[in-house]
Amino acid sequence: MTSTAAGLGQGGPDLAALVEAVSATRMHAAVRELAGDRYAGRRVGSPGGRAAASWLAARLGELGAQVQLSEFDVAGVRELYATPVLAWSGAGRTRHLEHRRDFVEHLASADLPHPRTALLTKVPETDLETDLETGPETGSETDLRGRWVLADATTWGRACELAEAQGAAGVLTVRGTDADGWMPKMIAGPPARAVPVIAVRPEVHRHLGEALDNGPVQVTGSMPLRQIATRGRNVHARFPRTETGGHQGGDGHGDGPGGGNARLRVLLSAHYDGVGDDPDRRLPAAADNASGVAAVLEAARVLAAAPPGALELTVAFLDAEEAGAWGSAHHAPAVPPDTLVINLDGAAQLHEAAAVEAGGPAHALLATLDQAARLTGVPLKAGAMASDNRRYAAAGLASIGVGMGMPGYQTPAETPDRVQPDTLMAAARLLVATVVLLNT
Amino acid sequence: MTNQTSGGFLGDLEEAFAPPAAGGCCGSPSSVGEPSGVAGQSTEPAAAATACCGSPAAASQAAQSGCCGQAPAPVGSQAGSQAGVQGGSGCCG
Repeated sequence: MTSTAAGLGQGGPDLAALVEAVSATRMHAAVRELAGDRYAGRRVGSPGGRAAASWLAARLGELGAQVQLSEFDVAGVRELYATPVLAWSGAGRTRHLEHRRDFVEHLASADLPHPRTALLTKVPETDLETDLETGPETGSETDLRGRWVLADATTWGRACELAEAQGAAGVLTVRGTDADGWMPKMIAGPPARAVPVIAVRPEVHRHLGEALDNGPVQVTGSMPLRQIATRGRNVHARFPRTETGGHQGGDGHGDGPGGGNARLRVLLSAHYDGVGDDPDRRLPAAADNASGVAAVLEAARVLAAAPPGALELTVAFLDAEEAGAWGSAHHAPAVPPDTLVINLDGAAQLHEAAAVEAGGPAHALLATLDQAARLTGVPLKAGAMASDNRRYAAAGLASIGVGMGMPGYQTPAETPDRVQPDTLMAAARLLVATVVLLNT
Repeated sequence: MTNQTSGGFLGDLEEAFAPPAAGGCCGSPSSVGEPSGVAGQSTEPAAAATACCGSPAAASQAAQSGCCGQAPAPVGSQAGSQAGVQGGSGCCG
């Protein structure tokens, strides 16, 4: 980031001073805090998630912000309440597989609390093309009753239908791994099926298919996965303005009347929730999205100390993004309609350029972001950002989503040491510069 | 970033309103479908958790696009560069 100094001078002395005030040390400390054992991966509704909200509210309060916590209902959150098991035997040998390395919960799975042992079978191609009514008594080549069913990724849905209709033990399908060999965790998905569904990594899937071609294979598996309803908790902060003629009243969070008459409102947002630890393994969620939270918090700290202007700055640390962007869905309808929103999801590993997605009437905001990026030396590129920014755009707000990488995405390898200080600096400086330019 | 000498948008700003889709799901830094997959949806929380990215249509697209692990994300895609997920991670089928 040292090469950006010359560009910053073009933005004026105030901008240069503010951008230089951004601290990588502070941001990395925030990332380590939020990724710590105390917060247990910060899943919505969990004690760790609530503790993270309290910690963030305290930090924002220290910056002089008016802070509110706003709660809302969340449903359909997948909760792995015990470590699942999977083993298979063939040709006189048993292989015990490792959860999240060799296999993972499929989010459409029915709850299977205890291991179930049964023979494995494949669904014949002909059955995959027939009607559900076509069962073993009406021409099906294979009886699935009481069996584990091996399905590929394109036919798993049909295999589930057949498994349900014929009373199968469960379905095994295939899913990829990340570059480190982990199978990422998700907590939101389609409606649950009536049968257990387990996803295995491609190599395991291939071995199972080959073993089945050579003789009987017995599978023992459990999938203790349930859906829960819980409560999410957003953290909203408004930074008061003090200049003459400016608005100083109201709650400032857009949660009711009194949003004020500021000429310009900016909302910086980032979700703080994660997918939560596994029962026997940490998932620190350092990149997704402790890094984004840290950058927004640091930008707010710098901007809170800036000379007042016409701009009203609000910050939202959102819950339940991993469960389906419930926090922003709850918040967006209450945000004043002229608010400009920048949502940061991932600020951990900037490669070529930050991904940017714009929605709503965001043309002017996007142009200002571009200008700020030129001044701070941050490359931007159009890239899909399926995050909270879309909820704000759907509510008619000018909304931009920014992403700067998530190494170890939703796996145990998503640790603080993989969050690059330079990327945190780039993200926070970009936010600060954008807000300053909007305010001038 | 220390070697970065220039910033700003690479390409047309307007592309940000219709960014290229890539493998991934809601909550990931990549997208499975049209950016409007969520934008066109109700902001009712009830819709948020019913399917991938809050949209049954997006979930359906995801099942066809590698979100669920059946097809590796293209090299250089957001799924690769942002998340590093080779085979997709899948909040869907």
